[in-house]
Amino acid sequence: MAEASVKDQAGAAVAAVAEEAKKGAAKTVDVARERLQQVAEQVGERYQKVSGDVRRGAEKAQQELRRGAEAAREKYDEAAQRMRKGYNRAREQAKSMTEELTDYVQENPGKALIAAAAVGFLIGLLFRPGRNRE
Amino acid sequence: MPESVEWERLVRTYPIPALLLAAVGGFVLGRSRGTAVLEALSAFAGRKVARSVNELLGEEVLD
Repeated sequence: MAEASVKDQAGAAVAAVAEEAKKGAAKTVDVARERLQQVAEQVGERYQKVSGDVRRGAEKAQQELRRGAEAAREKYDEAAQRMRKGYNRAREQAKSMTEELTDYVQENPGKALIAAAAVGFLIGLLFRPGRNRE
Repeated sequence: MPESVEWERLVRTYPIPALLLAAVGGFVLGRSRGTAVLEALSAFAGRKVARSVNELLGEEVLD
């Protein structure tokens, strides 16, 4: 009789310990789950922040690139326009000079030929061989 | 220059090539015979000046 009572008491104690262990394990699992959830939320927030920073940086870089490209294009357009104007002006001047020269030669053919020959003669005199040795 | 060449008409018809040709001719002459041409020109000018001076003074001062 007493032996049966002891057995029952031991069984009850074991059951109580098992119950406590089960509760403890469940609590540990809950705590771990909660921690994991917190870590996941933190990682998510960090990711959001970093991706936002990266996106803002990329947008800024894109704006800077676009601004630089526009400035370069404006400079190129200005330079091209300036060169075109200079070329046209030089062409007009050359055309005008050629016309004046042609008119002068047609009015004074002898003088023009003598002047051209004299200029050529002087240049030839400057570039004659052995001039540097004299 | 022979009259049949009509160089004036040629120069008026082709003014720029004519000028270039004259300049090239002058260049070649100056490069090859420049010194001789200069000496001849200066001798000619010297004789002219001497003759003018002699005429002006009425006697042979310069040769």
